[in-house]
Amino acid sequence: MHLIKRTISFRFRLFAIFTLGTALITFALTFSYIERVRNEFREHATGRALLLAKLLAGNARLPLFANDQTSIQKLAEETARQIDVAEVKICNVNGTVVAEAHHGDVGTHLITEHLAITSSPEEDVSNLALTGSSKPIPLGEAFVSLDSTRLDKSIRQVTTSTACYSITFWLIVTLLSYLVLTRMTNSYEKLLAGLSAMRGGNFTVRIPITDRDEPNQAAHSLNELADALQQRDAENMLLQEKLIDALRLEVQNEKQQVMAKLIQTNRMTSLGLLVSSMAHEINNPNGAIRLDGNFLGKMLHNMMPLLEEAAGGDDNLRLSGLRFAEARDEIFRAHENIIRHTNRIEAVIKDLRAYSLGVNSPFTSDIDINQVVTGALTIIQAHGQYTNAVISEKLRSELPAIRGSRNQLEQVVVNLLLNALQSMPSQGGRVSVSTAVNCDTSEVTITVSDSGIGIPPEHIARLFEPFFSTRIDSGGSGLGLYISNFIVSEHGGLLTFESEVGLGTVVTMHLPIPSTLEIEPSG
Amino acid sequence: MRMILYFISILIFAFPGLAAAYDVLVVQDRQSPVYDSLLLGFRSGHHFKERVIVLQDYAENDLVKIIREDHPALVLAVGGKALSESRIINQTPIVSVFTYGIQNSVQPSNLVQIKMQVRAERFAALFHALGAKRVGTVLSAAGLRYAVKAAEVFRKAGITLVILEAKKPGFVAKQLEALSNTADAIWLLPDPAIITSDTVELFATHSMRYRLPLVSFSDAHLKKGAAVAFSIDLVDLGKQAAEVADQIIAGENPEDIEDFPPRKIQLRFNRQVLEHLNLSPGPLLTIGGLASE
Repeated sequence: MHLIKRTISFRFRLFAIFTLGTALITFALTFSYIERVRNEFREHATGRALLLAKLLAGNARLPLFANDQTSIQKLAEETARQIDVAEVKICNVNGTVVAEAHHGDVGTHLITEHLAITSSPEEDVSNLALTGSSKPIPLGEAFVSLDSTRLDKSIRQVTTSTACYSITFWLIVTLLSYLVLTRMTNSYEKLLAGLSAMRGGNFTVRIPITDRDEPNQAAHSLNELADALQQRDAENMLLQEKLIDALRLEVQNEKQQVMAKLIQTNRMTSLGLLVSSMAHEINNPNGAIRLDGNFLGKMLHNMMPLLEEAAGGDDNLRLSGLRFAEARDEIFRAHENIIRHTNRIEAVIKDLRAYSLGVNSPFTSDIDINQVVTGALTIIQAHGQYTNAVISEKLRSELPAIRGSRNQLEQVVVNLLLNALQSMPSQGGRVSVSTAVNCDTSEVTITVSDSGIGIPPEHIARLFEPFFSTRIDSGGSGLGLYISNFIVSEHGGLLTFESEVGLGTVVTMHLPIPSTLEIEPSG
Repeated sequence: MRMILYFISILIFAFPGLAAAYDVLVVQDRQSPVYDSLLLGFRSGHHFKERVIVLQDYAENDLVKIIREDHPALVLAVGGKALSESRIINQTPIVSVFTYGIQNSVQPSNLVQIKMQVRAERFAALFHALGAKRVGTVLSAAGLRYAVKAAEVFRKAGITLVILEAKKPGFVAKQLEALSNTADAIWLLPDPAIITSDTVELFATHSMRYRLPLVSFSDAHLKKGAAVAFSIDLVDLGKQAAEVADQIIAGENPEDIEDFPPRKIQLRFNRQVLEHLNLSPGPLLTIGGLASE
């Protein structure tokens, strides 16, 4: 069996408490009253019986003393004629019944009182004792029995009437209390209803104010609270909408950024593939050109003695408009350029491939920083996009070798140079790259400075964040400095920035010198 | 009813002679079996023409009118009230019987009393038999003269009579209280000034409370709580009254006839009362006492 829990209202609880309490008190008082009345009736009956016995004893004293049986019987009969007297008996001192009288049938419900009859009344006994007189003469005993039927009937009547009055009283009080409580708790009911509605989140509900009592005052306060809550709710809704809009925008922006980064990454991946395929397409003809160049070189070295013998010291011999000696120098110079430039193409392609594919090159302990810078400059120059910018270099000679990966370090320098070039206006600027050694800190530094737009202070702290870029729209991935910082950190180094908006930026890469190497100060 | 009264009036006024044709007008206080016994004795052996009047049935002064109208030869006054109303009449002889009162006033010449009194000597013997040395009594001023004479008789018998005066019946209780420590017995005398049914009860109650035997002048008081009383033979008393009536009707002057006491007096006692008072009836039996029924 499941017990169903029901919510008992405050009004009902109060009403129940008051009703039950009133019922208990009424019942207790009624019971006490009935008991008291019953005891009083019985005491009255007993007292009456005793009084009659006393009267009889007083009146029968002399007749008993004188043995006047006629008078004694007469007394008994007169007493028996009293209301409710059922039986009267007078006995002599020996216990023999001297006179007896009945009134009607002697029932079973009797209240009997008896009194000893002596020659002196009770109140005189003490006087007799004080005066030294002899004790009173015992003459007999008087018995008076009252029929309690009428008494019982009276008690029943009183009980019934009292009970009826009590029940009526209780019903009236209950009804009145119900009406009063209903009126008194009306305010509470409204208050509770209002609270309940507000608890459900409905702050538009207002509790009606009908009086100035405490519940109505509380209701008034609640209404004010509801006003405030409603207003705050509205503000919250507004703020929430704004927040949602802001979040939506941020999410959208982030999404755009992510997409841009993804696109850039994809583009970089594609670019890597393109570079890889391009490298292959370029390497092949470049290789052929270098081979032919080498062949031409050999042929020139073999043919030049012949040509000089053929020219026979004639200074006026011209080849392609140039005097023989000048043409000879030009031919040899052109051969060197072919070899040098094919080698350069090969180096560029190689670096580009390594850079785009991110070839993990192991750390070695013979990394020449100047070579790293040179390699990076080669790549940048091969880019061809920033031809308006002037790139200058100032490399310290005989820098100590450091431990690391040349490719990775080149990648870092390329990123720094690209950032410097991209920070400058389209009509050009100046970028300088320099190397140095700091004996105090035992580190080698590569410094890239530009005369670009500078970095706003609020961006300085975010430079190493992945995917943070001010050029997402122009294809920036936001990973350059993140990866560069990672690489430098892997090398045990540090990247530092000094920038001023409108004047330019100086980026310094600090790389530790292995402790076993001696550092010679520069001249 | 009107017819009956009319018929009676005719009888009275048409035959006036009939109304006066009787010798003795019997006047009694009330209807009482005691008086009946007395009248039984009065009528036995004597054939008086008589008319009986019960005073409680008549208004005051009716007796005088009847006597003046009927002219009876004699009036027999039975009881104290009958005597007191009859004494107004001076011409008609009066024989008074069953009157207990101690008379100190001057007796009229037409009155002959059969006094319901017992001689003091008999009372002294009675108290002596009861063993009482000091006897108390309460009397009015009128009864003091008799008591003084009785005290002398008692003194000779070695008994002290303590006499306390009560001016009215209301003072009897107080005087009785005073006797409680001074008397061995109480004597109730027929003093009309203080004796009423209430005072008789007072005497009896006092006797019961203080265990003092009460000696009374009437055996009727035995049933009221008196221990001992002298009982007068009422029938014989009636005969005595008839004898006096004969003498007077025969022509004897009432003034020449002296008052006399009853012939037959019997001492009676209440055995139950004596038992309560721890008294033995033996000495009373010795002096001729009889237990009352």
